[in-house]
Amino acid sequence: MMPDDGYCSKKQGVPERKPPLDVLGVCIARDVLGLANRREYEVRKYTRPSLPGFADDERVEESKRLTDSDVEGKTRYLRRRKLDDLNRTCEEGLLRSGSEWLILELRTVSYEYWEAEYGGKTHYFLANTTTEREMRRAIRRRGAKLRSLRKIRIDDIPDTPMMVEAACDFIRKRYGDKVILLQQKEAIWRMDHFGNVRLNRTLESESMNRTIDRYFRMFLENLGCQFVRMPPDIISDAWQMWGDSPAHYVQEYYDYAYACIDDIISGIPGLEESLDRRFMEFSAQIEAMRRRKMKSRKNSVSRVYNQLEKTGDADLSIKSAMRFKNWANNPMLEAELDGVMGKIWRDRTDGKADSEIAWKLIESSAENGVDWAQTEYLGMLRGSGDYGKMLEAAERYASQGNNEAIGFVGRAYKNGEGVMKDVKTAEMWLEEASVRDVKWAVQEYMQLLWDSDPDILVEKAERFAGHSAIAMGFLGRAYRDGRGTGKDPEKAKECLSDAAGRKVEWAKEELDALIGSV
Amino acid sequence: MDGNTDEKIVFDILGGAPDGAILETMLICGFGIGNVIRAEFGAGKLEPPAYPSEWLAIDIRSIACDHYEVAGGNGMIKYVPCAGSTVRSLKLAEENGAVHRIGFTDIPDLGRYMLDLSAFAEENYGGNVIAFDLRDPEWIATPGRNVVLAGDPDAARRAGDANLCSSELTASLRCRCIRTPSNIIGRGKDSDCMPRYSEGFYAYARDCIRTITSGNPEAGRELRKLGLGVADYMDAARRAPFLSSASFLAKVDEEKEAAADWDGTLAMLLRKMMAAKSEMLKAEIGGRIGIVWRERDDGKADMKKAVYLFRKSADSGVRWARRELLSALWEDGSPDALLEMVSRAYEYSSEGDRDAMEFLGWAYEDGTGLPKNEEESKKWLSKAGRNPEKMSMWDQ
Repeated sequence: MMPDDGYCSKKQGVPERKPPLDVLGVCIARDVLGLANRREYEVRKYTRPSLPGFADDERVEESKRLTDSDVEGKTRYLRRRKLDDLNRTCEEGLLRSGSEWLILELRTVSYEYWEAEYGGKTHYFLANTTTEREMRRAIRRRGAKLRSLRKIRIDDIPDTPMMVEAACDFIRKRYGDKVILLQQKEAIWRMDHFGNVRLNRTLESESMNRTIDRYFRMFLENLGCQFVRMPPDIISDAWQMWGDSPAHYVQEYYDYAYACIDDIISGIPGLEESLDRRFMEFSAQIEAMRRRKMKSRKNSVSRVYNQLEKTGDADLSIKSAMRFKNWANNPMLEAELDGVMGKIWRDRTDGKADSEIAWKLIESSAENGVDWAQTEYLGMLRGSGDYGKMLEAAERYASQGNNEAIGFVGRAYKNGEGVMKDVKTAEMWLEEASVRDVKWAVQEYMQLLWDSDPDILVEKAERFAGHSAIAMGFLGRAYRDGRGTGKDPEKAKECLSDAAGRKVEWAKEELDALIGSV
Repeated sequence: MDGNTDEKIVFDILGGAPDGAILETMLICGFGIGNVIRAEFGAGKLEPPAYPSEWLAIDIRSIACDHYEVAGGNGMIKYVPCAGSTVRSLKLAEENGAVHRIGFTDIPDLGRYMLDLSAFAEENYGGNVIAFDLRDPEWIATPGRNVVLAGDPDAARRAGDANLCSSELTASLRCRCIRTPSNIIGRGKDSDCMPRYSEGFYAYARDCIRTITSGNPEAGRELRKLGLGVADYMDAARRAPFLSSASFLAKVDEEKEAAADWDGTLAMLLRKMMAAKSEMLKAEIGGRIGIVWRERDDGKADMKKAVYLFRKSADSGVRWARRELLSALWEDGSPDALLEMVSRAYEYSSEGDRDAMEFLGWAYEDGTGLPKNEEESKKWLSKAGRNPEKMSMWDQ
């Protein structure tokens, strides 16, 4: 395609990369970064603090990156049961991570702990993921003789205030004032599957809240850092839950907290006022939900899909989506429901599918900032061959922070879709998308480097191999063929089998071929 | 500010019908009150007071209340706040025509009136304006120092109106707003319309006003921290009686173990139930009485009573009573009981109750109350986590 045929859009730069984060926390911090509408931040190290003295260096869960499948609870590494030791620290991991900011969330303080005495010392482990039998076995494996083992609450651990101080000292030294403390509550209100909000107040949740509140105050005073408030009457959402934990909140919370974190990190002028306003708006939303005037986003959307799945009647689900939209009272939810209806109109199999309506609805949803609808819309534009429009939209969405849109731009430059082929620019965009963990973009990026620039390939593949199985597979290929590096069949086998283990089909085939040839 | 620290700050108050709540709060907090300006929408331009004070407090509570829509004699329609006037008094005023009572959000052109209010505040007080949102508490501290939920549907509507009003005002005025935390605890009511708050709130309001009037450049941060503090305070106050009930229950259980016979146990539990202070505690003890009725082996066991008590207890939110209720209904075995069991099990499992899911699984397996269905049974049992393979690690 010629550069002067009008297809060449205004070149916008690759969106600025957000500073990488470390996360010390459990589900809430993870969900805020993984379930919000936008997911722009790179999480370098994600560890579960077993409190103050932090988690240990070798056994704590260390995530490479948060991905969609992590927050859906499907990957194995988060399922592995691990022991967190209070007496050790994960300081080294945090020191090495290279991130600027830390997100801190203190849910683990409300958990129970194992107090294990062995080797002349007392050790403390988080008790929520380990049974007594596992504890005993793990300690035996360390070759130590167990003297006593019992379950205790955090307040029974001696010297916790000292540990808090020590932890704060470390955090201050490592991150300065670039720390964000997420406030945390066990929700005592709960939205059930039908959208009714009920008081669900138990002794346990109240006593957990008491502990969490106290430690939150201790940390806040000690660190003097920025914080993100949680409304006292936060609501947990039955559609959002795994199990019956009251710590999986309505979708709106994640968007609110993400926006606050974004505000703090980008240091907008009038920060305090903005945070205050966000809080006010969000608590008004929560209140409206509690008064049954508004449903949560997850609730409405899941109910529509659920109805579709159960009855198979697209008309009915579209009707209920319309009904929810009338109730919605929330522009984001209205936009999302538009997208849902568009998807149903497009994908319905009863012969009434209407791509024109679908197109309109998904477009309006995308224009109103619904992340997944933007991706769908770009996909539809690409499918229809309207590359110029796709590129324009993708660049716009990318500047709004949509990760997949960045990949779309990169692919457009790579294949010359709506613009002159430009390998260098494509590399830039695709790399950014890979950093933000768009799976197919990693594949495209690696393929591009494989074809054009094998020297860089190895370096980049090594960098992404942590969070992307595809990059690992390419690394294996590079070692196998000696492309950009020396031939090393052993290493190639290792990398390919790792990628195959993480469900990359071609890696499995190539691994078999490699083993066969050897 | 050395000389000024003791000087009393005086506020003019702007509101529809500033009621006792804001006046009382201001006085308890130790601030003075200058002029009280009453705003009626549609009644023409607001006149500034002859001697305005330096600061203005906008009483959102009395602006966002119900209004009377009054057709005046001159063909104009004006909106008069309900507090402070009655239909009778409005009708008696000679020129007035029809009078209707309408909600705050039903006032047409509300946005314009809000803008009028902000313009008035801006012109006469510059930046020295504080919006004050005093809401009706949802939680009430009873004289026995229990904190109970007083779900008042009217209060719900008012709170929604107040939220709308405060966000409109603060957006157009760019003034600071002192927000009542949503978990505010009240001490009952003096009259129909005047809430009284627990002490912590007044301290918070005072600190907020001082922070704002001091002109501290870090005021925004400070206010957020104060908001955090008062929400925690209210949480703690709400929890305190609730947590002490744990020791109460422990004692009850101890005495129950020690009681000589079933009648003695029953009498003791009834006594404790009378003494219990909160609904939750009463429900907990009610469930225990249900267990006595089910388990007594002196020939007086009464399953009906037990089921009744479990049901009541479960409906009041006692978790373990749900399980007991389900199993009691199962044992009963009559079609009505089974129907109730199944519907309750579905309800509870929709809220994520593992035990209820397990019951559903068994019911399908056994064909009790539900048609026999192996697949469904397996589904529910695995959902309940009986299958360790499928147990979720995400229940943190």
